[in-house]
Amino acid sequence: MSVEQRWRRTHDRSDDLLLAAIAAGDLGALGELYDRYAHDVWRATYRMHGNGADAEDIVHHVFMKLPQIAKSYDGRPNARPWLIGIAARITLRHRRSLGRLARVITAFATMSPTSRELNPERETAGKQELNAVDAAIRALSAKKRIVLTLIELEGLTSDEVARALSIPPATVRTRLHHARREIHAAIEAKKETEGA
Amino acid sequence: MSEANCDRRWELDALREGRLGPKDADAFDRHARACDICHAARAEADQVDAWLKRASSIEPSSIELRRLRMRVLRSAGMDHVGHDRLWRLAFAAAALIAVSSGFAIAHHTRNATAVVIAPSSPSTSSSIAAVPAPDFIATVIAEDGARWSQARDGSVERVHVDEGTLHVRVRPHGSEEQVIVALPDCTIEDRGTTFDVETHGGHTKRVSVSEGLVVIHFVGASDVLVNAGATWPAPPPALVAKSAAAQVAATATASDDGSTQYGSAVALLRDRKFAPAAAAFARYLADHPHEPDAEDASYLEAVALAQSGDAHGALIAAEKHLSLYPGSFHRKEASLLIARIARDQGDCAKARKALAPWLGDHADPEATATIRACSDP
Repeated sequence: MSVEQRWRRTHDRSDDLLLAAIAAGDLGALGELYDRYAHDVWRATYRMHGNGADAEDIVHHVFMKLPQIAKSYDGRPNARPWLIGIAARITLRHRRSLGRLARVITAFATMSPTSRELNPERETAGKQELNAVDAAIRALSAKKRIVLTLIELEGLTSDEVARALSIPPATVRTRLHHARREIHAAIEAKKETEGA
Repeated sequence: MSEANCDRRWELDALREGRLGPKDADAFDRHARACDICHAARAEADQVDAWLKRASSIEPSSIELRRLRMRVLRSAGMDHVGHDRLWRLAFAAAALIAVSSGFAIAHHTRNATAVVIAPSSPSTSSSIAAVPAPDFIATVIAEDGARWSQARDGSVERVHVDEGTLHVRVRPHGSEEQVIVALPDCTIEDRGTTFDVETHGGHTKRVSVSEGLVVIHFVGASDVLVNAGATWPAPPPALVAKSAAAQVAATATASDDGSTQYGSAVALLRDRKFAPAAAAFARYLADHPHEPDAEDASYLEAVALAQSGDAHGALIAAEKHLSLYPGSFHRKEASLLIARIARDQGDCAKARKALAPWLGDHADPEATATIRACSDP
């Protein structure tokens, strides 16, 4: 076992401690938190936005800005809903100009190194998934799609989504209800069209 | 019964989220069997849930996440460094005022206390020694046989390494505090990080950074920035030239994947040293044409050239970028760069051609504005 492995074994920290460390400028803690949740944040963002390049930009933005916003963390032991919530808010606010977002938020402005397109393998895999369900999800408004994604696909509770998006829990449930309704109706309509 | 007048429908979401206790869940089950509205809503939710599961198989690749991790730490590290510099300047000013007014800063040096921790694996032959963290910013784990000490003098903490391998982790600390690892032939300044250092026979053999970034100050030579994931094999001091270009050249040998070299090029760009940055990106591209960062480097080379005033070079670099990476995430920016340069050179046809994909029915405002300024007939 390497020195590094031994170090990690004896220094596992909870999410709230990591975020406190990040707030104090500890980049090692940022790396640890990234390793724990970047995958989940990326996947949730991809589902909310439907674009791999933008998902990458949003994940980059979320984690890059943590040293500045970690102080606002409420201390819950699991930071996953909070991080996904930040990604959701960014998706809502910037869904039309994510390419520009990366440039605006960094000191480089137009010089910011940003991400690539989806790789061909994933592109192909993605296309295979573009079925009626995907089309129905994409047809939802961003607000409904985000709520649906966070609850149905990412397993967040309606209260967690409400906190993340700063909206009342009742609004979350209403959006979820309408999202389900629209998806159901869209797919049933497609089935009828194909059957006719 | 209409949906509006079933006041128990909200329980469906609570049930699905696991917020209902067993008794309440059973009660809702019984209700849903009798209530058409709740029964239909439940069936609909289950159906949508099943559909969604089929449509949710997109995952990020591990290489993509690793690459993104480096970008995140690099960006966050740069923010941190910028902030840190301001604090250091402020602290230096305050110290100067204090000294000039005759204020004596207490000088306090502590000797390190070593605590021996038993090896965690029987197969590991070396024991490790760690300094208790509370009084020190840096926690040090030393390999067997290492000769080192740790002391604090005011706000500056120094880890002196005479021989051997150390793993150093710097805990969060105030911006006015500083951790310096002093090796026989150089000093390493921490920028919030975890790293290994190895020194033998009076020469630094290796600095390997796991998290964050460090700056190595070789005596009489320019500073070297080592990013997360990069390793610095010690070059002979004579080879470490003072110029920024030479620094980048030396960095080329620092890591196999060129991440340090790329980081140095980005740092030059950030410091607005555009011509050296362009040269550094060109060198990185020559040395590491197949690394994931090559695509970004190719675009950034064009940006650096444009910012340095070399419009012709920027035009060529941007065209090369688009030809090498036709699906680049920067394709629009690269095309805009080409169009602007062509427009400024009076070649509106070329400018229009570059922006053709963004001038259709749903024209991009930026592309339109660029072309609007074109003055050809």
